[in-house]
Amino acid sequence: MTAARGTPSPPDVATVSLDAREVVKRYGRHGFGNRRSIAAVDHVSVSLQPGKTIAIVGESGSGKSTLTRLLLNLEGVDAGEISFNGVSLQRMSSEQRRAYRQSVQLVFQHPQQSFNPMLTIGGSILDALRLRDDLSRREKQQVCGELFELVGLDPAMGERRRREVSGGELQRAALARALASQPKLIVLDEPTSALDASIRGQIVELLLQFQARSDLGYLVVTHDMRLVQLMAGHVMVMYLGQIVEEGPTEEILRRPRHPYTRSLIEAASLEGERVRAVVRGEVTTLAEDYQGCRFFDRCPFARKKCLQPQELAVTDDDRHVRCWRWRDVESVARETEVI
Amino acid sequence: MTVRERVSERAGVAPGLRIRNLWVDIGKGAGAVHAVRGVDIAVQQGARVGVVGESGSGKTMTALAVLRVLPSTARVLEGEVTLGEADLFSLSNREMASVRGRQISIVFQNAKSALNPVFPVGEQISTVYRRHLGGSRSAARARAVEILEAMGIPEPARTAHLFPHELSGGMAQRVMIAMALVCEPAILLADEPTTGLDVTIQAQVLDVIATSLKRRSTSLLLISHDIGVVRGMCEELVVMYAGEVVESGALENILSNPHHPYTAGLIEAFMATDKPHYIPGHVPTLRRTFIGCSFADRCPLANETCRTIRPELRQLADARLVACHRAEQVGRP
Repeated sequence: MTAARGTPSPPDVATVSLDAREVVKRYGRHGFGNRRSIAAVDHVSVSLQPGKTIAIVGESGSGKSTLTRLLLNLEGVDAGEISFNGVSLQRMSSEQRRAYRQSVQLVFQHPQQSFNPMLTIGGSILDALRLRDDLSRREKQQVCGELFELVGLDPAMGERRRREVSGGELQRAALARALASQPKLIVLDEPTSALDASIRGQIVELLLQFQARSDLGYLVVTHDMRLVQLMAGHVMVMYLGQIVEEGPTEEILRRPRHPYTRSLIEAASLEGERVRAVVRGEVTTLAEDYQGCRFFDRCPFARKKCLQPQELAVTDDDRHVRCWRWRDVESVARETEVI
Repeated sequence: MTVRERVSERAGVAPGLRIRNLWVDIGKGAGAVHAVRGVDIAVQQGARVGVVGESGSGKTMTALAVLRVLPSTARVLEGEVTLGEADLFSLSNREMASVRGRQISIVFQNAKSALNPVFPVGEQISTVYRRHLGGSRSAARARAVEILEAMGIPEPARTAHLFPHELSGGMAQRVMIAMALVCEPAILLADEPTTGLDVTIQAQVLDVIATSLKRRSTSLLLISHDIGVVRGMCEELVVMYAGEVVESGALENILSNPHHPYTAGLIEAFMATDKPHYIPGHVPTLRRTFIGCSFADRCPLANETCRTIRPELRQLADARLVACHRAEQVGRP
């Protein structure tokens, strides 16, 4: 079969999957003679599949960016394993590595910083097409034009450089670039947060369209609960390197069971008469040997028992939460309807 | 009569801020950006007014023009800003310096870059205090610690000795707010005070601002792109688009029943969680001048009138102002 130029056959495997199992990434603390390290990502498991969207929510320092860097093989894991189609990223052959690079793409938060200032927008996208060695140079030019059309940009935009186009247009171009290699999985790092409110929905709608059309799988990394609600069926909440809660988005937004999830939802809530500071304190750095709940200092539900290690436990209905008081958290949250 | 007396005619009464027909250009000639185009905003004594708009709507330039701290490429073409009886544009530089920080203070978005990196934060606060209110160094230092504590900073006496780079983003923003409020100004201008902070920290910082304003009935002009932030903090709302005020009035009235198509679209884009909502197109370049309505290109209701005649701000029955020929079709009566 000769596939149309714009849609060559996908990688040979029937289904694509990217799985992280119990991955750990530790960073050393700077300082003379200081050999301590902190786990930026601490035993996190996540599985990306075509057609599904998973959201990772957390604030700065939660480890969500580190996790994406690990999934994209921009950094190696210290423990655990990340595998693409069942093969560990560390042990891939060069051919497998190429298939991985082609199948897993990334869209960055700041389009202004993710385009080469010296290249035209079209040039940047052509550059991304080098992964498609099934195409001649002329075909690449044509695919480039098709990609512009696909994301709703005037092909004349290809002649411009990044400072000559608006943020929304540039983020569309970034999508076109990510789609150039015909990936099956795309990691979206805060895809709308650099955009104006009135046009964020345009990008979200585009992403949903592509997903419906090409069965794309997304990992959305964000702190925006509304984006989670619009895009993701499954959400994972991270705090200081750990998953503290995980499950179906609707369930979690309606009935959060971890105090941190609850505070995130309430802080982002548009309802409510007054702004309430729901949790005190800030994200702190913990002592290396500290084993207890990492949210302890800030948690309104904290008890002595929280200083013991907390498991990410499966609750009765297959949701995961890392808090032994989840029933109390849920019952309080239900009284104040959020979002 | 000193400036301080002129701006607060009666002792103990905080004067209101009034911006009238303000026009600001950035650059000159053909490349000039007409950033602010005839903006009118009134902040009554003790009022809390929110200004929302997207990037390029002119909201920050308006705030900078009020304080006369526009970048060197920008200039005020026309307009008047009064604080009580005093016309801020006619004050001498020295007089204006005594208004800034004493009568009107501003808090910027990125506190860490707004603070001076080479002085401890406590010293920066006490310098502002002594500059305006005098007094001994030790009294100013005590006042700095006191206000840091009021901002909810743990161990204020120790924090006062820290440098900006030793603080987290949330703490730096609290220090900025402390510095802005240390002389108990009549009006606080807050330009995206929580943008870039984590959501839980954002809630804390807004809480601090709300509490400290209430204590002294300080007026607030809060600039934000986030309707959620403004909603929790303000009673009045000003919506800006392409350098103009397109709608203003009581916040709850506008949010529950917007009369400008842009306001309606913006609220929908923010609030909707069922499916993505957005306004087609993008914010226009402000190099151009508009013959008709600046929103006409993106507006679902635009007709020939909208494209040819500039809509003036007009008052509706509930005392709100709206600049739209077709406002009656947008909102409920």
